Amino acid sequence: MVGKTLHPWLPNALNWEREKEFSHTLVKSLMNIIPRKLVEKAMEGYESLPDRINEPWSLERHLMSVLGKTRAYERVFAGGIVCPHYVHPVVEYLISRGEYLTSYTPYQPEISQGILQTLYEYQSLLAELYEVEVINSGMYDGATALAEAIGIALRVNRGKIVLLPQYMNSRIENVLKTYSKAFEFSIKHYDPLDPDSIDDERDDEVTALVVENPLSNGTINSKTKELYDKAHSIGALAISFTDPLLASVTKPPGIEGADIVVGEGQSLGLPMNGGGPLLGILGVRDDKRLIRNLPGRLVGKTLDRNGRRAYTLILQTREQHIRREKATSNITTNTALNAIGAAISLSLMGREGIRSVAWRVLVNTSILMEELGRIKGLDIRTKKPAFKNVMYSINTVQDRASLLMLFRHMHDVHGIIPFSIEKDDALLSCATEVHSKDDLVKFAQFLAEGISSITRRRSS
Amino acid sequence: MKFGKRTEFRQTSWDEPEIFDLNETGVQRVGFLTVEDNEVLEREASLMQILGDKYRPPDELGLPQNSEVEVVRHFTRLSQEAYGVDEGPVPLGSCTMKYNPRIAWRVITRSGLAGVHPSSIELGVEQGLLSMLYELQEWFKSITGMDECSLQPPAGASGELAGILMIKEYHKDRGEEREYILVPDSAHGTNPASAAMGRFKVVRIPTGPDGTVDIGSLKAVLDESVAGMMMTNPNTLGLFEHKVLEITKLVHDAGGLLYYDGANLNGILGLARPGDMGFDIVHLNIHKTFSAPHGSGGPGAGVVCAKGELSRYLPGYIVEESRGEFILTRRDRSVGDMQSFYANFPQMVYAYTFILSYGKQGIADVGLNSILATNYFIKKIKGLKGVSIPFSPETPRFHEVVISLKGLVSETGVSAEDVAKYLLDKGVHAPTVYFPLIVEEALMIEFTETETLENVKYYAESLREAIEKAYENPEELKQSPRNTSVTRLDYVRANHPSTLTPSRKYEIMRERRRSSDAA
Ligand SMILES: Cc1ncc(COP(=O)(O)O)c(C=O)c1O
Repeated sequence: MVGKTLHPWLPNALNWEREKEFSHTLVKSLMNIIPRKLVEKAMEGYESLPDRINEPWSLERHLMSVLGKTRAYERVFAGGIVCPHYVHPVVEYLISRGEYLTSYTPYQPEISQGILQTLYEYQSLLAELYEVEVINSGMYDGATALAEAIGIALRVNRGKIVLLPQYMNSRIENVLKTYSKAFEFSIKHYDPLDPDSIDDERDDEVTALVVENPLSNGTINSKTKELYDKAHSIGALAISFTDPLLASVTKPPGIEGADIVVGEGQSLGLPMNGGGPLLGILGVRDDKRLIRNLPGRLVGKTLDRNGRRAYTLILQTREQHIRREKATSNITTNTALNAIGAAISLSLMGREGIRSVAWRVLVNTSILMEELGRIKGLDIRTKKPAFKNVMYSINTVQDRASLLMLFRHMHDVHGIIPFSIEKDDALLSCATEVHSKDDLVKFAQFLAEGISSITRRRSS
Repeated sequence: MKFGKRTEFRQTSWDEPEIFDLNETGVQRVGFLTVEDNEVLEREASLMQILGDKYRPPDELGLPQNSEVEVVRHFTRLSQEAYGVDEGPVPLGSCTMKYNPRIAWRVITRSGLAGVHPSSIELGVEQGLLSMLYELQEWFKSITGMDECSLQPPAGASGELAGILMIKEYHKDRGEEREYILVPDSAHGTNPASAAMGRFKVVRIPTGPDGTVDIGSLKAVLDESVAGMMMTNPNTLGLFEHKVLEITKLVHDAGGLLYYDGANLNGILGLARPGDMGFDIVHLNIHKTFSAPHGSGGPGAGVVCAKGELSRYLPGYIVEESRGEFILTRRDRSVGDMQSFYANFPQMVYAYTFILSYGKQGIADVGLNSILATNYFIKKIKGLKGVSIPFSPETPRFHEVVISLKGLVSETGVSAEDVAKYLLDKGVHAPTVYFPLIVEEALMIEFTETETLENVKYYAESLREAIEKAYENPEELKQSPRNTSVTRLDYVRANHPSTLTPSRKYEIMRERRRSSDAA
């Protein structure tokens, strides 16, 4: 039973045959260690695994037959946290290099300088965008980064209540609810358009106030500064959840007074990947307590013994491998490769590039709003100016079954992914740099046709 | 055998400037879009109009501007100052650094996964991807011996947190208040960290003299305040917890639940299953056993599986087949979502490729080949002066082995870290150092099934050479590494408040403060 399978990923399979005595003795003693019953059950259980596919061409053909499909991202208008963005070939190429792709976390800095410097540059580039001094080297996604930001607030501040904007994206709120079971905080909502509605008296137990920009319905938040100030006036920490692209053209949260900044990094030219992995951006302003309570890895600059500039992981006593149950979080594997991709993408875009992408998104969003506005029976819930997402409902198509029918109709007939269902009848579509004006105009036309066709089909 | 060439190892050292300092001319360069002059004007006017007083002018955004070729070279050069599985052996214990099949990467790129919006998954137009998830769920059930699996958690630690919440909610639903989670002292740091995140108190269970959980100590703490126990088997010493059936029974009898840290399943693939051992919840790391790459620290993917009643608490979504279609479903007592969407798809493609490529005929050989490599290494280093194998040295290890250089450090002053740095000079990656915490001067070594016999031997010889040098000329090891991009680093400078530099912005701020203090 000694590993006789000849396989390209098992270089030694036949070497063990030559080392007969060693391998046979070993296997025998393994069998004495593992209770026999367990081995028998395992062998039985493994019977239901699939048969192997031998040749690489057969394997690839099979995989492509299951996974392959034409997927043109300019035909994706579905919005929400994830929207189509241009993934530059340079990004795709560089992150496929084995040195980045197949390396471990850079715990041995002398042999991992390239990774460390790249992640340091990621942190530095994002620090510029958000105008805070410290950004860590990445979390799983924006939602978990926000949950961990709340975790920071709960450690450094009093209280157990977190104020979220009304109608925050339900996918994000779902993740926050999960983490609230762990961190034991409760969620309350406020009206983001009306900072004065947050009552100073009542909310003296508020630990943190979360401020979104744009709001989950796409509307650009014009009250960010008032809200950060409000947070401070009620003794709460101000957590900003800001789209990094939008931050390139609007007053950044660090300047306006946010204590902790969070974002979803997929906007920076990363793939949608069906929703995962994404990139969680998390950072804090220069404050000792906040920095000491920051979860995740942080890279810093130092010197080597010869006085050469060098980079290494820093402040590791915050992390699980040193501090165990006293760590700031359990996170270790994060989404480093996406952080590397974001650093490359940001370097390519540069100051002018990112601002022109953000501008195109703004312009395209206003086109999308106009075009959708022409459709009869469409109730638009987003206010101008908006960034990326437009939220609306359709008077005649409201229940989930009909929405699903409309979605599939758009997909089957036009190859379009039209919207995401945010909650009940609220839909999100988005416009980004990948859409041309023509794409947006056609999308609205097809959507209008789709709506009447579904409405007709249902009433007949 | 001669390995002359490899002693000549020199890692690339570019002394590459930071991206902010590349463009010395100060002239604008573009690496992305062709930005026409008049477009810039039009853009600024329209931005100012759209954004009003929220407008951020370009001179308030400190991003660098480089041409495409500079960016390609910059990151290519940086990548050359890194060392992954594609460069050579990375026998980091507990990390399972195996070969990441390129065929999976190609399928990920060619299939256009990048262009898939999560709504297409949710609303069922991506039946192919859903069928992959469905099959994986089935296969992970077979591999773990559990009843149901969720593919949502984005990493192992997230799977652990999900498991901890499942335990918490389960007891809560039964009206029981149990505040302790038991964790063996050999456990990975994420275990106690996850338990603490779930607001449990952590009780450390000591390791007995044979290197496995000390049953006496376990019995002493088991009562109705124990919510559950987290275990790794084979444990981080590479030893199989041979009393596992007794342990799971003891904890169950006390009303506690059993969590299996299956981050690394390499040691028992094809040999034993956590479900059969009596565990209620299991997580798997796709980026270890199932060949997804580590990507310089992530992304990975975690999978959580559960048995019986506990399945109702699984996080995220379960793919089910209903009227010829695959759909996403939720469990009624689900702890909720561990990330925004459904799974880390590229990582799932690796797992899918991996399992199909070995099939039921070959997958057990993955486990055996990794165990053989580990024990072959042990055989090659047995009897080295100053080196010991703590806990049952004669018992075979599974996927990994932990050696102690306690003797070496007391006789020569050369530490595990020094030896690890010396190994870097030999053109191989260092092992995991100082983990698990119960072994002094620990080096933790894990060769997976994909490491060649030659490299295992070379590694053993390099270690032998390091130990010999330590006795002859300890200073040489203290001065290593010499052949890597940089030499050893100044950690005091890296972490001291007066020199801490986590970003360029921070550096500039600190320098400004310093000069204004001086003035
Ligand atoms: C034994 C063990 N458990 C848990 C983990 C955590 O997994 P992850 O890094 O994916 O969060 C790891 C790896 O880091 C591990 O080796």
